[in-house]
Amino acid sequence: MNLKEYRTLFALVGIGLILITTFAFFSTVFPYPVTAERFFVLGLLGRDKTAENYYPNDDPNIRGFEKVRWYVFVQNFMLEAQYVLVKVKVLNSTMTLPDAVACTPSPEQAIMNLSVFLTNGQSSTIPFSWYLTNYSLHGESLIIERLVTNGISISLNVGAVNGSNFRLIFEVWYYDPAIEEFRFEWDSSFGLRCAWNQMLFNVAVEQ
Amino acid sequence: MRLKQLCFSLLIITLLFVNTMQICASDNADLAKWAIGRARSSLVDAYKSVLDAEKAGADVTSLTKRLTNAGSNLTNSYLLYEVESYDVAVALADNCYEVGEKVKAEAEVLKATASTIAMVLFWFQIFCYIGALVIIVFASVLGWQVFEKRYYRKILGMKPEAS
Repeated sequence: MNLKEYRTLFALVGIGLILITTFAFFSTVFPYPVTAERFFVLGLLGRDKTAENYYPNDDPNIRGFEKVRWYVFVQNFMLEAQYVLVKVKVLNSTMTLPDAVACTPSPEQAIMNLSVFLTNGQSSTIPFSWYLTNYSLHGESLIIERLVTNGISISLNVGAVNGSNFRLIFEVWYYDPAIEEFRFEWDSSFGLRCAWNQMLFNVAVEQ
Repeated sequence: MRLKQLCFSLLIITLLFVNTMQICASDNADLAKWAIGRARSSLVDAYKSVLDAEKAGADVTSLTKRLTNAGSNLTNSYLLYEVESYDVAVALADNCYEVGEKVKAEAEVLKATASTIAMVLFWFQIFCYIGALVIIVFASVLGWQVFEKRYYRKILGMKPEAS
């Protein structure tokens, strides 16, 4: 190699080093926007905080004043802090359920809202205990009139034939600062998503 | 005649008492409703401040934990309002409001601190970048000069080959 070729080599190495430094600087100061999927995790756990032992003696036929203890697990992967409401609803088999495909919530009134604030990646396990205090029979229909959730008595009026196929629905809602309201569905970067869960139970009629 | 007067007086007193109690209950209900509304707004404002602080790069985990407790109080407050336990509902809503206001203030401080740190870090990175460029240019020029000298020394030191 002659001197001119060495000079070109030196210049190329110098320019290469400058380009690498510039790339490192810009990727640190102006990072490329993350396009990860945004989602919530919702889970319902039994009395031992595991996915079992949901009902006393594993019997979903609940009697009056029989205490049921669950835990609602929520985790935030929405890439920023979220104000989350888990709306709890009591439905029978004929009432409209949330639609996971169209991402529409159940139109029924929530009996309570469990609120939690989560940073990205943070999770929370919210205790949820309940028992029935008042129900009545009207012909074949059993109507739940009052239940106690987390120590607070709530009145409601939901009936089911023979007290069968009641369900507790848990819907994840989050506060959207853009519209200043809670929303059920969210844009996950890969389409609309929503999260809900249900647990079925029967009310055992005591003769 | 006297008995009639006595009965009439008792009736008037009872009506007045019932009316007063209704007004008090209505006042308590309105107060509880107002307190719950104020607490809810405070929580939303606190959440927005926490979100801003997080976007500025602050660690807001401790703030979200406190807001979760306050949110739990707000839920209970609303449920107690529904069963007409207005006093406890107001107390819980007031507690929620206080926590919300404190968190909001702390989030704003955290946001300011995080913004300052981010600004310092930004200028430090620019300084480092410029420093790195200067070092690369100087090293290249200096390296070339040293190399060039050695190259000439090597060429001049060479002896012509006799044929």
